Amino acid sequence: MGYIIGIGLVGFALLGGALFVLLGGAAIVGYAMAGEPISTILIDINRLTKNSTILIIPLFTFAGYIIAEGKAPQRLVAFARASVGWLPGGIAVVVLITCAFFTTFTGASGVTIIALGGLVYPILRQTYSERFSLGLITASGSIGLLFPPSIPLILYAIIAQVPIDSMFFAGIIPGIIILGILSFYCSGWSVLKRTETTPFDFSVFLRTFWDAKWELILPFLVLGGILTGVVTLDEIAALTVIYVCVVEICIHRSISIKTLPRIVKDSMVLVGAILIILGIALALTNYLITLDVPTIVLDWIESMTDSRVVTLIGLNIFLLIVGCMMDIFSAIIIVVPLLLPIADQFGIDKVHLGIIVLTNLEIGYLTPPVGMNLFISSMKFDRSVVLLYRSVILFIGLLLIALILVTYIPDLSLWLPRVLGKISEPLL
Amino acid sequence: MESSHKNSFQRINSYLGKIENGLLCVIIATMIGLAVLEIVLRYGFKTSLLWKHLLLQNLTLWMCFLGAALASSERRHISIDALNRILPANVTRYTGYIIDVLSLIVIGILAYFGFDFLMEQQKSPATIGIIPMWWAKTIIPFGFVLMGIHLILQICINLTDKEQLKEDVEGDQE
Repeated sequence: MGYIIGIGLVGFALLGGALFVLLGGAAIVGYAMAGEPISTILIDINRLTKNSTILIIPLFTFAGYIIAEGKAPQRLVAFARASVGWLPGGIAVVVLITCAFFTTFTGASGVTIIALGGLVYPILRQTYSERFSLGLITASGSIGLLFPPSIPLILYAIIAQVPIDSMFFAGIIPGIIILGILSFYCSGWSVLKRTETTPFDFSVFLRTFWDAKWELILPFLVLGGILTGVVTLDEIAALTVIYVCVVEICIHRSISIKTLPRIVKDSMVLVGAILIILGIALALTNYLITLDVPTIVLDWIESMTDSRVVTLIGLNIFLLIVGCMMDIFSAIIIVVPLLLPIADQFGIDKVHLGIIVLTNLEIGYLTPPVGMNLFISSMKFDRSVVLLYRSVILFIGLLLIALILVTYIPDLSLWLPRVLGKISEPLL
Repeated sequence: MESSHKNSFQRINSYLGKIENGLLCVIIATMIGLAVLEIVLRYGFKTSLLWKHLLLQNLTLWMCFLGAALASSERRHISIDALNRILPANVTRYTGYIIDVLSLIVIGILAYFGFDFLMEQQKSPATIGIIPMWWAKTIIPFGFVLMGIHLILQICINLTDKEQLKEDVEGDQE
């Protein structure tokens, strides 16, 4: 009986059934078989409200969508071009940096490819081959998730119950490493192929900086607000919305007040879709805990290995598969509760685990055959998915190097929050 | 996509969506307003609103359900759909109906027990400021009801669209 239901649920998921319905169905069946009242599920959904940090998700998402809607992408590309366009491979680095910035604020990488792809693809094609350009944009779509205040960082912090500010600071160095490795590769490639560069022009640099200044200082304002503690995190989120509204509506006049309801709709569709999964997953996780599933998984892993390194390798492979199948939000919600006891057992810091999880899921996004970014790019640029498979392979290799560094050198994630006093002493 | 060919199912679907959208705008504005008010009260008047957190948390609950209802109205719920990326369209059209009906059953069950939950909540004397707490919880069953309505409308839209399609094809053959 259990197997039939299991297979049915997997089939339902693979054929495109909404994930929250799948989890809800699993919870209903589970509670019914255990003889528990089904309304317990609703009580668990209601627990969503007990966590006061959840409300920063809608506000930051809304702010991100406002930025995406305005002319911010153009301004950022212009500034990035003026500042690093003179480097060999500078144009590629421009794309990397702009996409990273963008993904940070919009959270889901599909949005970056759709919002920025059309803008940066023609710029790349002036210098690079079709394959390189497509691969770069598709891969760029998922870097930036490690920078604050990205939604996946917040979501992980909520699920794993670690302080959000420690997650925010933990992601910065690994994020820079990923950007650095990709940039280094693009520069090297360009030196070999002797691509053209634009000479550095200080006046253009100043002018484009001035145009983009309001967007550029936003990450520093958010981090500054957190570090000084003058306002709480949910107030920072609300102030961020006000700030981007003022910048995009009053200063740049790139969107009008009339478009705000549509932006509310677009962003809240995403927020609702995430939160409903989160709510129902809380119920399912509770059920799995009563069944001792986390302990069973842990025992199973312990029976296979007692080595931390082997566990980490297993974790990496498992997460790559998950990241390929699921979007990053639901992957975090569903998988992280199962991973926490394992990490605990093997002495992996929860904050470090979060960075490992996010980096893996980022790469999973581009992993053939079903990584989501491949399909988004394929639709956006009207190219075959097979061409995209070939385009991203090299970038996946580069990201895997970054993943190995981030996974096996915990200090890359933990040093900065520790120095800033955001987490306690290192685990040994 | 545009309105000239909208049938009545599509029209109801989008009206309902507009109401949800409007409520969401009000909620966001309230959240932002509360944050500003709180900062002003804290630094200007050294005081704070006791019920602010409760209100914000329940606004988030409304946001969750109204956003999810909107996601239903546009079929933009998060799904895995790995097979749909590979299977041909004429197969997925039929599996789509099965998925929709199964989803409707699950949402129906959640809505039904949501009302149970609401009845329990009604007994509690808790309040947010002067508002009884259970008022805020009405969104739990009604959110699922909204999602169910959108799903039914979506199924109707698909069915009627197919009729339309068939008529078109037959028209061409004549």
